[in-house]
This record gives sequence, C-alpha cells and structure tokens, in this order.
Amino acid sequence: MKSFFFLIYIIGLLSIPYHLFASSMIFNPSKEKVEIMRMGVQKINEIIDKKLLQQQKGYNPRLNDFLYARRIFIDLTGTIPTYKELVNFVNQKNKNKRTFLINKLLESEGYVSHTYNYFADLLRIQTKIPGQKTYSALFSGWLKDSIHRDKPYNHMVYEMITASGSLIENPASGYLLRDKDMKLDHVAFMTKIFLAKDIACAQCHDHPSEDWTQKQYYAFATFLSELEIGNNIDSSKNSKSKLIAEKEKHLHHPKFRSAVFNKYKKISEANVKVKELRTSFKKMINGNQLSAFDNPKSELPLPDDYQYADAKPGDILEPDFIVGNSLGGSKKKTKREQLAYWLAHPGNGWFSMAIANRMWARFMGKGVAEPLHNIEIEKCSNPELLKTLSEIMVALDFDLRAFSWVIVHTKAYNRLATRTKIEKNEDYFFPGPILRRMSAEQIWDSLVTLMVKDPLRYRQPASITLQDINDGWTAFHFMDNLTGEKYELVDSYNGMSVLTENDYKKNISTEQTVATQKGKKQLILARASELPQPAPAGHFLQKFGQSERLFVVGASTKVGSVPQLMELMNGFTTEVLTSSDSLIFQRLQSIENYRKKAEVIFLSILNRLPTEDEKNLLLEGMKSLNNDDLSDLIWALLNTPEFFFIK
Amino acid sequence: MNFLSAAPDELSRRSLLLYAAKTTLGLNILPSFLKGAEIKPGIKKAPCKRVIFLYMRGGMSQTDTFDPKEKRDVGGKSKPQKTQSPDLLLSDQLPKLAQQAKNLSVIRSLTTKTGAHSQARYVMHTGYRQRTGMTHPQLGSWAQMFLGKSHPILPSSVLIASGNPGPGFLPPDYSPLPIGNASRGIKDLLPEIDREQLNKRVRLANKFSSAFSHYFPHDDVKAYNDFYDQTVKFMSGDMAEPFDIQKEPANLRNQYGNHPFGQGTLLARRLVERDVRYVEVTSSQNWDSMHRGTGSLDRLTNELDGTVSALLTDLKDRAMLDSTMVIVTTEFGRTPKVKSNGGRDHHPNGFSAMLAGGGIKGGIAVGETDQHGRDPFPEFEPKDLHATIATALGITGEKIRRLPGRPTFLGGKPKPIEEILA
Repeated sequence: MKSFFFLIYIIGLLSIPYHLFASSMIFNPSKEKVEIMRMGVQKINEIIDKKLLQQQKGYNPRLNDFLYARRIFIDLTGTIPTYKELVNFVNQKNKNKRTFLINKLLESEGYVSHTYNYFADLLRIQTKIPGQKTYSALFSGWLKDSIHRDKPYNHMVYEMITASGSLIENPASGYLLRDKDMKLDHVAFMTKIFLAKDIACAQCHDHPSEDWTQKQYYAFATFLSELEIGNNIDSSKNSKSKLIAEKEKHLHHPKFRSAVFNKYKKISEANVKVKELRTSFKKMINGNQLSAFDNPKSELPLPDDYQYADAKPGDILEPDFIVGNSLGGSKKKTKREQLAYWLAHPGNGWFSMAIANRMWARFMGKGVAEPLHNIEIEKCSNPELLKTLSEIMVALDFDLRAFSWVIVHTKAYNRLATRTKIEKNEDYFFPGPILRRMSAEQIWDSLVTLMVKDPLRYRQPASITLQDINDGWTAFHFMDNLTGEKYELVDSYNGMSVLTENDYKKNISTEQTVATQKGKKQLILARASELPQPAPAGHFLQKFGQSERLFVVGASTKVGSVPQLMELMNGFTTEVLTSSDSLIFQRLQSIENYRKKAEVIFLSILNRLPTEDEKNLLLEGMKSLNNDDLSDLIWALLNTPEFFFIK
Repeated sequence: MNFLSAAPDELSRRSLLLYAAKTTLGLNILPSFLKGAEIKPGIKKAPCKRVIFLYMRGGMSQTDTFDPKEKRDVGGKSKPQKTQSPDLLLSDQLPKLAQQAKNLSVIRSLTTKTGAHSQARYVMHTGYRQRTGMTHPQLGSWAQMFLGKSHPILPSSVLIASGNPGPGFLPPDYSPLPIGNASRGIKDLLPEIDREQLNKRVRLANKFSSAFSHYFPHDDVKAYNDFYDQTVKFMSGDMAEPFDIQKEPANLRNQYGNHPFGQGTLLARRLVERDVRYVEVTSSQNWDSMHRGTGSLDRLTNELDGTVSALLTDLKDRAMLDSTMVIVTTEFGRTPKVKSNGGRDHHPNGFSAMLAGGGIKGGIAVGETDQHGRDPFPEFEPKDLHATIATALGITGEKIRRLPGRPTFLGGKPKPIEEILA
C-alpha cells in the first residue's frame, strides 16, 4: 500500500526542516513518517490543483495570521485561542511558525479533548450506560487515553470490537456494552462508522436500491453471534473472574493497609477504612457485572419472518464479510476476533477510506464523498482524492495526529472558507474549506476559554481499572479513586476533587469550576469532554446541537434556534462574561487606554482587530467607553454570527 | 413550571426539558436528507387543518365514559344514557357531551400491547413500541414533516402540561414547544431584561455583524441572522401575545373550567386559531386514581365533560369545528369489572377514543367491546388512530410514509379507520 509513495516522482518537497519536530513537547514522529506526511501533502495538492484547473477555478484567498490562528486552534484543540496565544503567534517572525504551532497544538491536552468529542459523538458515548446503575467515565477515559498515547486508529477499533469483560476489567468493552440487547442494530452502526456502508434496511428486508440482502446482513452479523452482554456468571465455576480474584488479593496485602494508614493517620479510623474498602470492593464488583463475553454455543438464526427463497427461517449462517474478501487470519480465533482482524486490517480499503474521508470532512466541512456513513464511490466527484487520502491513512499506520498534520498543511485547508453555501450533494472541488459553524462543543469550549484560566486543569479523574492494580498501593489508589455513582471533577494539578455530583455546595473550593446563577442554578465551567456524556437535559451544549447519543451515528447538529440564541443573549455564560469581575475584565485592568481595551476585546472574542469602520463605530457610539460600554461590546461580539462560524 | 415537575415520571420530564432546549421556535431549515420528502405527493386538500389532542393521563376508564355497559357488575356507578344522536350512547357521567353527540364519534375497540403506563403512553404518542436507544417522533412532528410548518414564526406543535417523545429522530426544528403552566403561557421562557439595554446591544451587534454577513452571502449565516431577529422579538415580549389567555374573556375562561386542563384547552384553541397545527393538552386529573375506587369518578369525568364540551361549543361558535379535529384518548383503559373496593385496574386490551370536528363523522360509534367490556372488535391499535388523524390532515399514500433509512411513518403499517372519516 505504501508503494505509490515510492512511485511518484519526488519534487518540490515542502520546505519544512525536520528539526521543527525535534522536541518532546511537540508532535514528534519518526523521520520516515515525516517523509510520508510531506509527500501526502504534495500529492493532495496536485490532485486538487488539477481538478480546480479542469474546472477553470482557483483557490480561495489566503488566510492572514489572525484568521489562521483562530482556525487552527479551533480545529486542533477545539477552542478559540486565548488573547495571549493569539498575540504570541502573530508577533512571531519565524517563517515556519505555522508548522511550529501545528506541532505544538497536536501534542496539547486540547487536542485530546477535542478529538475525544468527535469520537464520543460517533460512538454515541453515554456515561450512564443504559441498564447500569453506576456512573461510569471508564470508557471515556480509555478513549482519551488511547488518543493521548497515539494508539493507531485501527488498533483502537480492534480493541473495542474484541474487548471482553466488564468496564472495570477492560474499559474498551464500553463500546459493545453501550448496545446491550441491540446486537442486530449494532451491526448497522458498525458498518456506518467503520466501513461507511449503510446496510440498516437489510436488517429487516432485502435492501431496495443497494446490493445487500437480508441474508448477507445476517451472515455478517453472525460474526457477533457468540457475543453475549450480561452478567458473566458461570454457575459451575466460581462466579468471580480470575482477574478479579487475583486483584482482590492485593487488598489483603500489608501494603494496602499501610497505604490506608498513610492517608488516614489515626489508627482507629484507618482500621475501619480498611474494612470498608474491602467491602466496597466486593460491592463494586457486584455492581459492575455487565460484561461482554463470547459464548461458543450462542447462535444467530434467521428471523421467523424470513421471506426469501435462498434460506429458511431459523437457519444458522456461516459468517461472511459484507464487502470485500477475507484478508487471511486464523480461523481458530473467536468470530469476533476474525471480524476485528478483517475490519481493522490495513488491506481493508473500506475501513481506511471511511476514516480518511471522515477526517477530511472534520477539517474541510465536507467529505470528499458524502454522506460520510455511506460512501458510493461512483457518485464521488473526486475519486482520486478519496483513494489518495485512504492510501495516506494506511501509509501513516492510522496515526490520526500525523493524518491531521497532512490535512492542515494542504493548500486547500489554508484558504478562506467558500463564501456561499454548498449543498450536501453538490460537487465540490475544495478551493478551500466550506464555511462551518463550530460544533456545540467548540462553542462551549471557546466560551469556557474566555471564562476560565486553563480550563483543562479540571478533568474527570483518570480512569483506573483493575488492570492497573499490581500491589497493595495501587489497589488502594484504585479504591480511593472510585466515585461510585457520581460524576466527579478533579484538579489535575494536585489530584484534589473539586466537584462531585449532588454535592456542589460542599465543594465550591474554586470559583473557576462552579459559579452560581441567581443563587440557585449551577453550571460546571469545564471543557465539554469533562462533563457528563451527553450533557444534562437543557444544557448549553444540548441547545447548540450536541448529539443525544441515542440511535444515530454522528447525530450532532449545527442548526440555529431561538432558545440557542436566547442562551447567548441572556444566558448564564454571557452574564459571567459581561460582568465586571470576569476574566476578560481582569485582563483589561492594566490597560489605560479605552480604545486599546476595545481592541483586546476584539482580539479575545473574534480573534481579529477591529476594522476602520468598526473603530469609527466604537468612537461615535460609545464615547466614554466605560465599563458598561465594554460589557455592551463583549455582548455584541458574542452575539454576531461571526463568533461561531469558522471563516 | 411547577406543573411540569408533577408530570407522571422523571423520564418524560427530562425528555421534555431536552427538547425544550432544542426546539428551534422558528425558521424551518430542512436538512438535506429531508428535502426530498418535502415534495408532497399524495397530499390532498384536507378537510382538517389542525388537531387538538386531549390526553387523559393514567388510563381513562372506557366504561365510565365512551363505552358504557348495562351490566351492573361492569357498569359500576355509571349507566348508559341516550344522547342527541340515536346511534350513540354515552355514560351518564358525561351529560354535557351527550348534548353535543351529533358532533362527536367514538372508537370503542382500541387495543394496546402493554399495560405499563410509560410504555403505553409512548405507543399512544408515536405508534411504535419503545425500544432501547431510539425515539420516534410524536404526531405533530410527523405532520410538520409532511405538511411543512403551519406558521412562519409560531411553532407547528405545542404541548401543554404534557410530555411526549418530541421530535424523536427528526431534527430539532420538528420539536414541539412545551408549555408548563397555561396561565403563564411562555412567560417562563422569557427572561427578565432591561429592554433599553437590550436594544442598545442589539443595535451594536447588528453593526458588527454586517461585514461578516456581507462577505459570506451564505444561507446558514442568513438563517442565523433571521434567528437573531426572531429571538429579539421573543425577548422583547412580542411573541407572548398568542400564548396569553388573559386576553380571553373571563366568562369563556370560566366555561373551560378553572383548572389547568380547562385553561390549557382554552390556550390550545387560542393557538390553533393562530395556525399552530397540533396542540396536545394533558388532563389535570390523574385517572390512575381509579385504582383506589370510583369515589374519584365524578372529579375525573366532570373535568373531561366540562372542558371538552366547552371546547366543542367554542370551536363551533367560531366556525372552526369543521377544520379542527378534537381527540380525547389515553394510554389504556380500565378493567370493566369493578374491584371490591370499587376501583378498576389497567386494561390495555380494549379502550376508547373520542373524535370530533375536522374530517370526522358525527354521532356514531365504531367498533365495540363484548358485553362484558373485555375484548375489542375489530381491533384498532394506536397507530391506526394516528393513520386516521393523518388521513384527515391529508397525509396519504404509501410513498411519503417512507424516509430514506428511516422507520416507516406511524408505527409500521397502519390502517386508517375509514368508518369514522367524513
């Protein structure tokens, strides 16, 4: 698959010296990978150049530094830049400063948070798993950790599909547990997400317009026939899994006791605590029985109302792939392992194409092929581009950071958004990105950036699982970290809990995470990725279109509404931002000149300087520019569409 | 919004809050996957323009209302009484509706498969059985889907003191607007603001957004600008008028009944008069109290009888009855046999609905339960009732009931109840 890179005639490589990568704080791929990334950019540019030339069209205008910084921060870290970040970038003289910034942002915490939000939407993550009592951020934690560690995307998918056990044993199982009792539906989700094939109709009848029959659907679903989701209790054996039994021993090791004593000091208190923790370990195990496991006896017969001549109701089918062919692999493995091996294999073109096209759409606002969950190559306006993106994805070993790096370095990405609306089914040749509204999460996170210093300081606790227990100390750490059924937020600087669900009052230790509205209502000022998934009913995020994470893959919307704008005009966030003790006002204190203050407000919110017209407007309309006028200015800038569109 | 918190269960209250947050209250920006469906094959000129759906929460007893029985051990306290119409007997608990029997008809053989309140409520509102992880649209959202918005600014469906599954899998613009307390209208939605300050700020925002809007003559940007204009209208209170029943004469308000259901039904009439297509109102009385005995029966039936008869009279006086369908129904019925304490249990097997007005014949009963009041014939499911309403609204034909990659319209394969359609 890498071959095409060696075949193309290598000329005019981008002039990006390798030393720009050489630091641990920034994105730092291998030299070979950097070569592939550069060639990828080159190849994409050539394809788009050619296509635009054929159409006798040119690229959109270039971006100035202000617009560039705003876009790259939003796209890579999920939020607008702070005033300081913006000004630092604009003032830099280095000619490679854009690449330098990209490399820095790709390694930031914001990148993890923002990328997590994307997959949380796609995978329909709910931290309250239906049918489970406990609140669980373990799957979210696993996903964030996988993104943070640069786990190749196909490995992530393999782990999710083959995961066995309960969430505390193996948090990747959260992907399958999510769809308990919906195995057949899950098959349709799976093909939409990972193969860009919508076969949902064939679940109940032969697909009217496509090639798939109901029999094919069931044959593919048969790969999951042995999968069971439930309490994995085998009555003939000890009901506890080996892993649990092995880990429980550590709670009876002297090290565990000393860890407890270390925290509780008083001997009497610690003795009680040791017992309590052992009991709650048992309780916790019992409360987290929901597991994914394979039962070789389990079957998936054709439904009773099966109506076609090629098989009978109740027939058991041999598993078969819905597209393409087998890519080898051991037949001795479980059916799920065979499925995952094939699905995430670099040779599975549908898999690499689906994710490459999704990633392209994330940055450009539109996939090379649409809709993203059902690609029909014959309808694609630029199949060569689609194929190339897919090949780059494979050549980069499904490294999403590296792939993002490639896209944001293309000429097409580095141009102004197209001025008019492009319909979903309209051919588009990428003279630039399309005009995008920010996602609900990007808007919320941008406001949080304006309200709170260093918002990602406050996070959901890192997920610790049974796997992480290897002695008495870690066993204590594991137990100490359990929040039971509650949502919790911790200060990542010192590990202290700053907020627990239903317990706001006790824990208002920092005004940065919690603020009160008219004495009663409370809002957690943390990034969207650190809030309950999805955000609670009526939350800002819901109004702006965060997915309910129910039945539709990637169901978030960007449609406007009146309640949405009421929130921006009169909601809590705006109240915070326009009050004279807000973070913006604090920053303005040291500035004497009121016109300079207004400029800082422009740079903080719209990330640009006021135009001449706007300056005149400020001068005539707001003669004194006192604090009230500044509040009005902040309000007005938050309430222009420019604020939440990406130009 | 105290009435909302008294809604039957937490789940529906939460889902209410959810789409209260998501309702767009305004423009219709169709996502492209629905655009094809906006072509309206099979939509005929319809007799019925709007629907008022009156929901008796907790399971209305059919025997004590629209399906009275002679047998003493079945009838309990209520007896069949003659009405204005020779073909229709009603329970003597409904004397006022008996006076208007020419205008209304009854379906007596509804059946539903579940006897649990929340599941049965879901089926009655969507036509579908509830399944994990999916929500189907309520009737008003379906109607908007096929017929378009009924008013350029006002929402196409409104729920008064009601919980239903909202737009389901349809986009947020199909959300009904939920109203908690009819007497307060949308006042609870409107913030307290300093109008002068708002105006000043809006003027400023308009000036700052003009350069951007000019550079991007883009539909999405334009839509947002329109939403801003509408939001300002909402915030400055201009939109409160259609929702303000204080504007109705005092004697009319009294006729509808001085309880949340009466006032909600009056608001429903006020809204359909202003081209809101679908309004649902939930009874303030909870019919589940029938478990404890028929002692509460008068309270339940008086509310129903008084308010619904006032509504029919009012619609007739305004010459709106011919184009407005009124439906009274519930999640399931009550056992015909009276328990030893005088109460009645859940009875999903057979129950009734009352229909009147636009597109509906008057004065007849369709279907029946046997003399013991148990088994219905012919069986009609909630989805058939929906198909009947849809047909009266002009939504017909197999074609338009399918969306690409979506479940079929109205619970699979429904059949309209032709006998009751005018």
